[in-house]
Amino acid sequence: MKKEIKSKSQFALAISEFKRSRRGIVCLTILGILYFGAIFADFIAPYTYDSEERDYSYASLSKVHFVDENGSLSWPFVRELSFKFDEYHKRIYVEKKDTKCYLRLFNKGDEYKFLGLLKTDRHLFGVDSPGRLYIMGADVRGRDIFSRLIYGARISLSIGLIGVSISFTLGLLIGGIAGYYGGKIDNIIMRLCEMFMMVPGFYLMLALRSAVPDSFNSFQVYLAIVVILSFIGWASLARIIRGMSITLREREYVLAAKVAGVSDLKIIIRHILPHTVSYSIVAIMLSIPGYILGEAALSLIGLGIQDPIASWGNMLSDAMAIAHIQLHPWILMPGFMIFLTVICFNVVGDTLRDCLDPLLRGEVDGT
Amino acid sequence: MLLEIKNIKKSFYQKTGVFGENKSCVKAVDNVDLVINQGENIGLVGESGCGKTTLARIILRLLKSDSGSINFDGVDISQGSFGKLKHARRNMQMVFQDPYSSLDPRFNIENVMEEGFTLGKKEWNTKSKRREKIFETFSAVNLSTDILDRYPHEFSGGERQRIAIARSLVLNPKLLILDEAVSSLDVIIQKQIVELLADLRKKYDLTYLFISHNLKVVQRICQKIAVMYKGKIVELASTDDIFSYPLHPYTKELLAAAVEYRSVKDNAKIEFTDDMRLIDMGKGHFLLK
Amino acid sequence: MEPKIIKIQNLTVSVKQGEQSKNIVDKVRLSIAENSIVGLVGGSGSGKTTIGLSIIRLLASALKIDGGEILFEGYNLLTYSESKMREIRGKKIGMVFQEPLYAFNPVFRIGEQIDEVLRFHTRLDVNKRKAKVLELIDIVGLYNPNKIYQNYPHHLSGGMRQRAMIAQAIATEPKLLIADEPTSNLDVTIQAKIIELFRELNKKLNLSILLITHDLGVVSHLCDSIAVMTNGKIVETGKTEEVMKSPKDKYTETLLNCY
Repeated sequence: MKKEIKSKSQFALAISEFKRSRRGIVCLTILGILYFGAIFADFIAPYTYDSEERDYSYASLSKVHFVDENGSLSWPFVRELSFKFDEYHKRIYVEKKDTKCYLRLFNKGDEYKFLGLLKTDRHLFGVDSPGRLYIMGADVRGRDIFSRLIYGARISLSIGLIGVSISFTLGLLIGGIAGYYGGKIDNIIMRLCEMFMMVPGFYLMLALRSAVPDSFNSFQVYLAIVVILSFIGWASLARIIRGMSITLREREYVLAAKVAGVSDLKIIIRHILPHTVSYSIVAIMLSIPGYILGEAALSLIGLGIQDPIASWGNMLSDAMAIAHIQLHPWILMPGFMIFLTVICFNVVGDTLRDCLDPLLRGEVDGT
Repeated sequence: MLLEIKNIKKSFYQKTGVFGENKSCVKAVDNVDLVINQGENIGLVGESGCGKTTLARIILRLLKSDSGSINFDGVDISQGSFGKLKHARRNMQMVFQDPYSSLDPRFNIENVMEEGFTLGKKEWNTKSKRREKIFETFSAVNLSTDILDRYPHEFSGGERQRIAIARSLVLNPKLLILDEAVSSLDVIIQKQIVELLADLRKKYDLTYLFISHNLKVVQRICQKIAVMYKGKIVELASTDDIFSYPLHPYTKELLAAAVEYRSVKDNAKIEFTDDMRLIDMGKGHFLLK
Repeated sequence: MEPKIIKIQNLTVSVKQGEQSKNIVDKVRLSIAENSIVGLVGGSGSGKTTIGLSIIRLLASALKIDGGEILFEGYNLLTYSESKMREIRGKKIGMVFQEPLYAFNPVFRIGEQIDEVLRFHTRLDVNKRKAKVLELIDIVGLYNPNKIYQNYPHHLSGGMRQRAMIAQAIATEPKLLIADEPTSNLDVTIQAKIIELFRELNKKLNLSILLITHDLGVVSHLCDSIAVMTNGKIVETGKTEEVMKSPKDKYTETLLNCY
């Protein structure tokens, strides 16, 4: 009996607690699906992010037919579209009666490199050309919004993870060092943190962005944005980690390690930071949305990722005019995706906090 | 002579008031001299706040003294950076008071023990060598050898203290500083640990600096006792002398409390003047006068 | 036979571990005579603290009282309702714990916290209460009561805090004081003073004390009678001198050897 209690580590207990929360599991699953989609984007998406078809500008969701003109059941197909203008010069799309483009699994489409390795042109699904399949409608240049959303997820979702990992490494180390050494070092680092925290985040972001040269290509811009965002994020974490390590450095096992001759950096990494882990995990979960929103905000006002590369932020910039939203509501999809992701991260973070709470208390009081 | 400390002083400054405008100074260790000979266990006794733990930390160089010199095993360790004193420091180890906080709860026992080898990685360069040494030490402190993958919270206070002692012994140190190492344990366990320490001393040729607030605990393993009060050593003599002819009023008070559970009514406040020195009252019985 | 203030009969307390449950206090009988000091001695994990907490019914939720009775002034405390227990606690039975730092709320002054007990349990007005608190602080041997009244818990040293806690526990003039390892975290010199304080309180206020400790030394110098406990059972009881002189149980002997 006793053995069973023992063998469960604190984290195993927290995980089994997490499994009991339905909200947490649902949100974690959604996030899992989103990230899975982002990783296999070029296979799942029927088109590449820059595959455009001007004749289908702002085409609405494709109508999939299951019944052919004779009234009998058939393999699902879409029809080609032609358009004319109405009195407001808005395109009105009409299906061409005699065309049939069948829906296919693993059909041939645009060529891409699967996971950057295998050259292939197979996609999970699609329709025979010249038909176009828009399951979430098309944007102004007739690009498939669904495909672009999946490609955009790569940037929008990874920026959170990479940004968080940079800022947390910084925050943990700097906070750990400040708290462990104390005195002058602590004073200098903390004043620096306060300076960063004092400047309104969004304007600091704009200022830093303006320092990035125009000549950068989109990958470099992406990196620049990650660095900028994590540059803003580390300060608040460093302050909290510092507070925790001030209490932790007085523990006798830290002294014991010192007596044993363990180096300071090793003590910080092995004896101090691991005890802040349960706090950090929650903080990470709750701060990822900030990065996603930060990137979206920069791209929305045209300072972030540039067309034709897709990110949820710059796709949403299409939706800045109310007229567009009224006529083509589907261009709001990226906004919905941002909303969904942010909510999911917050719920998962919250649930984790509840599960780790007994640990959180234990870390600082030393039980 | 294993350790000689001379004129050690250490003050702490405290800022009080809303903006830290009042600075006050607490003399934690005030001009302390102490000699520890090889094989001669010394008990350092005094109430909490008398500076005994501070003195221990200064000897281990966890704190830097304001002035004075510390000579350990022929090397002056009061100078130079903490990192340079590796050789001296591997011969000096410490066991802490609270066995519940001196072992990192996230480390299993193997990691705890491995950490003890940090300063001797050159000599103990293979895992099997270290394993062997760990097992040898475990059997010396009466621990079973199958506990390496378990975690500190699975052990009782006494067992934890044994683990802590084992950790401090793996590099064969010459001096072991025990800071209230048995105070937080139950009397029965206390006795076991004290007996264990007596055994280990013979086996590993150890010298103890045993810090405690309780004279009775120290009596069992120390040949000499130094009584500390308000940062100064007020009396230093062999254990028998301290128990039979205590001279200093503070020693008498400690004795009454530890042996008879009786407190001496504060008849006279003990005051210090600057020119007080430890004076030999005959037969190596020193008194601060 | 002298009148008893408390009589514990066949008290059994169990802890639930998954499916099984284990008795950590097993059919314990213990009585405390009026105006006497009884020492309950045992190693850690022997169940001695559980007995103390059972009397004031403040057991952790994992522990369950399975049977027996605790007679206090002739009534079984185990049948009392929670609200009635609240009145007993603090008013008729006081308790002092090992770690006095956690017993006080760090954001209130010492005086206010002692005063709170009086406000809850008595009908004294503000001025009388204040006078009483100052008197209590004086009784437990703290100098300068006016200053202590204004102090926050962190201003006091361990020994002083322990005294303040005793002052709080005896504020309502309880009949019984349960002291759980009151001196284990203190220096021997302070411990000696606290022991003397207990002795004085016992004489002056006719206070009965149940002293729970692992230290036979303390018990032998303070208590009138001893109960030795191990593995949830009381293995020996008797007058202090008798037990110390000729222990009948093996465990008592081991304890005596260690002291």
